[in-house]
Amino acid sequence: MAKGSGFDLEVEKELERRCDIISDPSYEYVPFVNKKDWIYIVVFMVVCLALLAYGVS
Amino acid sequence: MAGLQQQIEKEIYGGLIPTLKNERTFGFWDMLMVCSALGIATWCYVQGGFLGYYLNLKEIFFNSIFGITLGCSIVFIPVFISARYGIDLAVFMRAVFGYRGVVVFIVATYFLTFGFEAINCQMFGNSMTKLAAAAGLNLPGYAGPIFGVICAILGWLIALNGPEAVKKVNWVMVPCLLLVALFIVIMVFKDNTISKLMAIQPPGAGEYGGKFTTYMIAIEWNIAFAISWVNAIGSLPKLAKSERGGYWAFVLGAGTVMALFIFVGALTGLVMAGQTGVISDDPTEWLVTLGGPGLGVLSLVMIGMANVSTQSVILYVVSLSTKVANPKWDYKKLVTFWTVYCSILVVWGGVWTYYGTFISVVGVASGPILGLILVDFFLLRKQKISLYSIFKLKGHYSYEYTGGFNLAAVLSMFVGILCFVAVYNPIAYTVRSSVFYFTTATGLALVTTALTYYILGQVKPIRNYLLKDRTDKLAYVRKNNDGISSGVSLSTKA
Repeated sequence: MAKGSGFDLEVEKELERRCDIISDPSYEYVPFVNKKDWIYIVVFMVVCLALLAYGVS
Repeated sequence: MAGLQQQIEKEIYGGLIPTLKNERTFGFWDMLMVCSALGIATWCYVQGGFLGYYLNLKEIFFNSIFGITLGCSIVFIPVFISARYGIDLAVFMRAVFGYRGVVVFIVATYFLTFGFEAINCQMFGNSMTKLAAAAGLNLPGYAGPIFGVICAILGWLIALNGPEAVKKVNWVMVPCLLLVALFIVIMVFKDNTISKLMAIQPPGAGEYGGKFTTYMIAIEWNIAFAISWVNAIGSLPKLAKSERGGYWAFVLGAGTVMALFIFVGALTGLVMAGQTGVISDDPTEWLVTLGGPGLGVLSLVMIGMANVSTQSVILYVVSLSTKVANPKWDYKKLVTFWTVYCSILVVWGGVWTYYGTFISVVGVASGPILGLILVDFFLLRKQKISLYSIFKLKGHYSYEYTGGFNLAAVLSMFVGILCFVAVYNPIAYTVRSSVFYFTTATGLALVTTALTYYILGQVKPIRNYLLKDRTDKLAYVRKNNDGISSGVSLSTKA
């Protein structure tokens, strides 16, 4: 099917609809990272850095 | 009407329309498979072979595994942004660079980093010509590039069918690729003990002024290699069922698994140099030399499959992200465009010839981009963005800045690039300042760009310039006192 101005309008309508949903305070986001996740990430990075430094010793 | 609805659905998975929570299709393991396929390509062996020329076994192991993984643990933090809002990361970058700036910087970066795909296809070409030779067919020199273009075309055929086809292909290919790595490790260790391997001196040991300097230059290459992946995040995370699942899949798949392959590549190059005196960063030479006709041929077949799977994933990711330049561009036409561009690079062959410089130039561009994204989203915007302005809806244009360019971001980026070249010469691989030993050049570019942008964001007029979206309705996770989003049920698992 050829895309024309009708399709573009529908896409824009759909985009607006989704932006309304996601920006609404009641929207349920996918499980997001919390403080504990950030701690694990930082510890992971520090361990990598330490082992990287060990490689040249 | 049904046809229009189907086209809309294609725009959700094959375009820039955000995915909602119930539309996510990739759990952690699905994402890990796709990311591993993304990362496991024969450019790992080229990177590994490059390292194997300069570092001994112990240095290769720690430098490649932990250098790459560390770089990837930083570069994939923006996965949270894409996963949270269900958008392509390049779409978010409109907030960082402006509506025109994103086109210039991001699309230009894709032109640059497609060099990796060209190497990927060239390697496929080399694999096929060596397989033909093993079968008794000596093909002419131009056969390699022709096979390289065939690899690009095969990846094109898979990518045309969208993310589900890419997912299915990779569930088969990734286990095969892990088998190849296992074959190589068996080939290496069947004739060599650990102590024998540890005793092999790399041909280029100390070539850049001593053991420590050479090790740090290798870290620079690995960090630049990892940071360049900021351009490959694209829209894959918008399919993730959770932020942490998406992040760790990227870090472990496109990061650690890729690093393991780099290590295997470096190890094989080192062994080949030690055993035969031949120095090569071409894994197709290693596999046939060390594996013999049986294992060597099988490995070449697997390598060929790896190349095609990676080509399909990269084409999907980059083609979607390119729609940031013009959302009306057709996904399939973009896949075709990038395939043609990649084929031109393959026929030219220059990326492989100047690989070390290529990696450094990629680092110069990618480090600052990553620094800007992290500061912009987490520190300046405090994880609150305007989707209406990002998509220019309902008259919201908060990211227009100056003629479509965020001048504060541009200035910060130039500061980062200047710092890069002040401490390191990427053409001659020479260190210009001792600061390099603490930060690497790519790390310094990232940090100075980020710091400059953050400091500029603290100056009131510039802050107002950057944060015009505060008057829009913002999209962000609202937390109750327990740190859980008010929209999330307590039984939801990551």
